[in-house]
Amino acid sequence: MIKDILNSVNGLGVWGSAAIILFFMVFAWWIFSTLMMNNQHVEHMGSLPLENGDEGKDA
Amino acid sequence: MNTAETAEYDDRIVRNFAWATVIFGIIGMLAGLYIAVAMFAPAISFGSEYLTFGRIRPLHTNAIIFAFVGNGIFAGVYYSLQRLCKIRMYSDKLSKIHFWAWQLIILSAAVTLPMGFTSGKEYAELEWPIDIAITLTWIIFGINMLGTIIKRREKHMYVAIWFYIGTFVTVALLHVVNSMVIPADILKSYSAYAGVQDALVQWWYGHNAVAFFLTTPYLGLMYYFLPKAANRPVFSYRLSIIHFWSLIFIYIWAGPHHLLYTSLPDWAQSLGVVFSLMLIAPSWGGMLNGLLTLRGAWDKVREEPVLKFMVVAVTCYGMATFEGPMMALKSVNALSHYTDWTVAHVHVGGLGWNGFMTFGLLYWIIPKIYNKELHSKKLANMHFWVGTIGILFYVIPMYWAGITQGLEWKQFTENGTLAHPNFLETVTHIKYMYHMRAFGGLLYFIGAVLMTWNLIKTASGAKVEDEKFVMPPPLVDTGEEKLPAGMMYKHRWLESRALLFTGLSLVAVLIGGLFEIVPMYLVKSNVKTIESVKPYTALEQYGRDVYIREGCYTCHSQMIRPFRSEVVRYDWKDQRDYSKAGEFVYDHPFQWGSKRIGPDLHRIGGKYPHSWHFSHMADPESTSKGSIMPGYTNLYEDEIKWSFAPKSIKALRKVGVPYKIGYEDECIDDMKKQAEIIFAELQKQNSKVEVRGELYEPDASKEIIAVIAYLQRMGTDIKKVAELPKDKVEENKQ
Repeated sequence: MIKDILNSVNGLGVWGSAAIILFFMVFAWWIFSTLMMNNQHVEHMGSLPLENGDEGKDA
Repeated sequence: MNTAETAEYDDRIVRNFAWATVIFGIIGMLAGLYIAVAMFAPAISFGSEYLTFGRIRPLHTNAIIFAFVGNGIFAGVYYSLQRLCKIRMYSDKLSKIHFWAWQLIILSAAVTLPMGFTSGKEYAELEWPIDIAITLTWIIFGINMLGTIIKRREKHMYVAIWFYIGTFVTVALLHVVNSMVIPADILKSYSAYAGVQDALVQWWYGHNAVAFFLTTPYLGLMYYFLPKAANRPVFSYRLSIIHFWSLIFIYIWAGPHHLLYTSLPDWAQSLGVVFSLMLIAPSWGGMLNGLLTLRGAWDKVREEPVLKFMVVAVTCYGMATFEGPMMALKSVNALSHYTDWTVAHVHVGGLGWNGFMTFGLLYWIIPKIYNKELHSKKLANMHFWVGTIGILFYVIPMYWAGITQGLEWKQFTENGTLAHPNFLETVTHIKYMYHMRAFGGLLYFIGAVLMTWNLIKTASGAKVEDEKFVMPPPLVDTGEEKLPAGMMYKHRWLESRALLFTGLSLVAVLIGGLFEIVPMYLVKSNVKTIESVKPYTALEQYGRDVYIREGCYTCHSQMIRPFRSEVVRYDWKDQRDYSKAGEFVYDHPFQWGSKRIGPDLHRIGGKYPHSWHFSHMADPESTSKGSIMPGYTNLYEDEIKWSFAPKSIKALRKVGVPYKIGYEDECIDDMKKQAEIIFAELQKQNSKVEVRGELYEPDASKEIIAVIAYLQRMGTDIKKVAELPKDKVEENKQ
């Protein structure tokens, strides 16, 4: 059935448009998601690599 | 009540992978240096078929990508994952199996590639048994990694871990889909896909091998090791979220930009271009996030070699990810594609981003896991400068060579004829650039040797013991972070769900793959069939197998793009025709190539007499003065393996080539008849060639006869009715 549907698609350019629209929707969703994040969590996560205590010894 | 306990990280596995990175880095770079010299001194192979450019170039790329960078990834992942999850690896046994299996795969590649066992698909050359071993090893790595993440003692997964997860799922997907083959023999197979479709799958893989093997894991490592080395938190955790999701979502679509102006349908090319341009945003977001992490710590960059390497690495990442989308513009690609410009672009990423990030990582990890200061900072600084100058000496001549050659290919005289009709002329003009490139490669290699010595000295005499740490109590699901209805934007919640995160990453990359590949397979109008295009005869197919074995695709394309400069140059007959999708329907695998060190061969059939090929293949300079192609005298000594032909016909039938049932029983006779015809023609033309005092004369049983059969067939079907008798094939592909 999928094959029949795809075979009947005229002007495959629609795939490109659909792809870009899909991307921008997802992109917008993620930006919104990050803006809504808790600041404390963001700070904690950003510093996670520094929690082992060996940072900066060689640097 | 849960209490904290003391445990040890598994640093032995980190040490193993780190040293494997050093060793294979040296080997891979040496192979690269060798082929760089072979580009202006082909005699360096001393007539050995095991040392030709066509066989060693895949060895170089595989060694660098999978051995040097691959081991570097694993060293960095095993080090950082345990520390970010605050727990030892899930299974020491799986870690060990992973390590040794990966080294065995590398060893098998090092043996099989120079022997000519190759699938003929760039960066995926290894034959099917090794592909299966790679799949199993990758699964072992995945189980161990996900197991560690699942039993972690840190509630949320840090951004580096997301990139590791994204790498794991996508590489598995790419490798399995692109490695679909039907074996003909224990070390010979045919791609399940043909022509245009094979090209799309291959470059979907090839592009995303760069994306998900050379980029995403290294971004994960950047997000861990750069803050560590700078002793600064990551500049923007919010930006890293946008960076991760948009990067993995977009990257997977961009593969078709490797196939612009080819026979790939326009809609797929357009998708590749659009998504390549969009890639600039997440790529630069990541680069800026990395560089801005150094805010307030730039003074350290002046003194610390680790940071020096990392800063140049991230800068090279930024340059390569800006240049890549520019090269994906059709007008730029028309000039840059098939030239050394691509080689320069790749090496900004390879030498700069991957190489320097790996060096920085090793200079960080080795002193840590040996509990010793780095032996010599001065030497590391020297490595940095020698390596940086090496990169400049490598890429500047290659840009120069690429643009020069691209322009010369396209240049016409006032009379409307090609200004440089002889392709070889455009090669000899840039030969001195190849000398400079080799010098740059030598400097880079010397830098790596300095590092090796420095690291060995650092490790020698060290007391080796795994790092102890206080393991936090196991995580308890208190129910506090249950996803409230209508709160779908909570990324924080997702950061604590390892399996869901893995699943969503897979969905993000699957979307791009499905949008591109599914319609390509199911919509017939994508590949227009051509009535006169027939399957190869058994002898021609054997010759094609030899063509693949010798890696001819590493220097010759088989794709005449629809430019006046190309149809005039490469279609020697009057029609001046570009390559059509329907001409490749029996090509398993496609052999379009990605670089023209020699001319395109798609319409070479009939251009020269058999005797020309007979002389040229043994001693290219005998027909083309100044040629940098090595001689293939092995083809004049090696017998055609007649018994392989029936296996080949059966396997090809399985992938869709319409050979009639029973043709496998007749194909040897067919081959011998065609070989005799070519042999008689060669004798009539008084063909013979002398190489290093050895006289080679035609012999109907030698492999050179099959190669001539294939070369003379190429691109001829579109202009005539094929010669393969009707009773040998079913009806053409529809």
